[in-house]
Amino acid sequence: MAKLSTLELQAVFENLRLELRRGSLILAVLAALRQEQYGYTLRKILTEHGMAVDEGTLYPLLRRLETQGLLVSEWREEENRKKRFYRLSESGAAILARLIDEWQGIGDAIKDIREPRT
Amino acid sequence: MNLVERYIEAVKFWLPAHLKDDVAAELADDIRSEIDEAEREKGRHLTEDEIAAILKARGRPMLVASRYLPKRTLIGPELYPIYILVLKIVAVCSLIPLAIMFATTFDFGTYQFSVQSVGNVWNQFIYSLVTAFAIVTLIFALIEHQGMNPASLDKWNPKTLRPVRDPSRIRRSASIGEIAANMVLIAIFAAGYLSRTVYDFKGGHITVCPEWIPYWQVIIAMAVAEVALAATNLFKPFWSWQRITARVAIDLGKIAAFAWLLQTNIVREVVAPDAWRPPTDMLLSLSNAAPRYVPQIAIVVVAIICVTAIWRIFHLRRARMPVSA
Repeated sequence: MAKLSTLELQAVFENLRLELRRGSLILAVLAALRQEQYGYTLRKILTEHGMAVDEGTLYPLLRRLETQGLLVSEWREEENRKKRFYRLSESGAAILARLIDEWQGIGDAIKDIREPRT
Repeated sequence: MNLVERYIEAVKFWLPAHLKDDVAAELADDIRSEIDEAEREKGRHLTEDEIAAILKARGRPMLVASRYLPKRTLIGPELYPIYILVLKIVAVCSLIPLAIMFATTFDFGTYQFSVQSVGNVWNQFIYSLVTAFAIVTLIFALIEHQGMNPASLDKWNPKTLRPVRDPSRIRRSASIGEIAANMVLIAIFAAGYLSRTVYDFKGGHITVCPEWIPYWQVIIAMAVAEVALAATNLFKPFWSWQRITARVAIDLGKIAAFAWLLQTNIVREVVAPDAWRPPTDMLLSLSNAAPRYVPQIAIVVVAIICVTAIWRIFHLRRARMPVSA
């Protein structure tokens, strides 16, 4: 196998990074929606916490999570504009707790693999 | 806001009816929120170019709309490997009639291919191939979308998996079969059945051409060589350059001898009772027609021999990769 060039290496890294973030993004969205938000503010909160996401990814994800019953949404008027507000449902809160446990388990497992206990 | 409205309309165009208004409203709010914030930061209204830049950064309307749609594939990952395998089989099977059709376009008077015939054959081949591919794709797409996954996909047993086979290995059963078949042929020859030109049967006889006897002598010589080769293969069951060459030489020798025999109008006379006329007449007419098709048959068989030899050589060159559990 030939050694990868810097550009190829960067492309592979970006690809893997995206894969890694895809799962974590769901966790971040569910966690952020413990407090009611509308799409734009949610995006800003995620960006401020280092989980920047484009709207083309976020809105379809919100719809999917709502269809799965993890979020609830309602249209309300605010600042003279109709906005759709999202928040975590009861099922969503239960799933979020389990997912956080799972995520911490994964983190611990990776830590163990990287730094085996002697 | 004219640009934003046009953008939203363009996104709506690609969305299904039940999503159009909902997605458009949410998207419009998101874009307007972004513009409002930018205007607050700058302390002025955004120019048309600045709004265009915001929309451009969001991507083409079709792309934006596609993200709201469920991911659909014509043929999913479960069926895809079978689909590709079937396409390969169809492609290979299409090559056989192509080879035969090309052989029939050869004009043995001028020893040239007829350009027009070759063109027709090629067009027919492409048409058949595309049609076959389209039919296979359609069938697999139907299976995928109707959820009619073949039961074998779910029910399988690791114990029934095909054993790992080295393609350069010669099966012992094949070598034993080859030896047995050739020994039977040699026995028939030794009993004298292939050393005469008149064969009697109840109520009649068939007379074959005089070339019949030397033909079988050549074939028996080849059979002896084939027995020797098969015996070697039995004890050293891997193809080598020498054995591939010997195999090709024997096969080409046999086809050359057979082509030579076919050209001589093998069956010369059939004397048979009336009840046997239909099959004996057919035998005679086949024998008379055979010389016309000798070149075509020879081209196809030689092509098969060459392809088989190339396949064996190809696998001979590949390193055997041991797989251990």
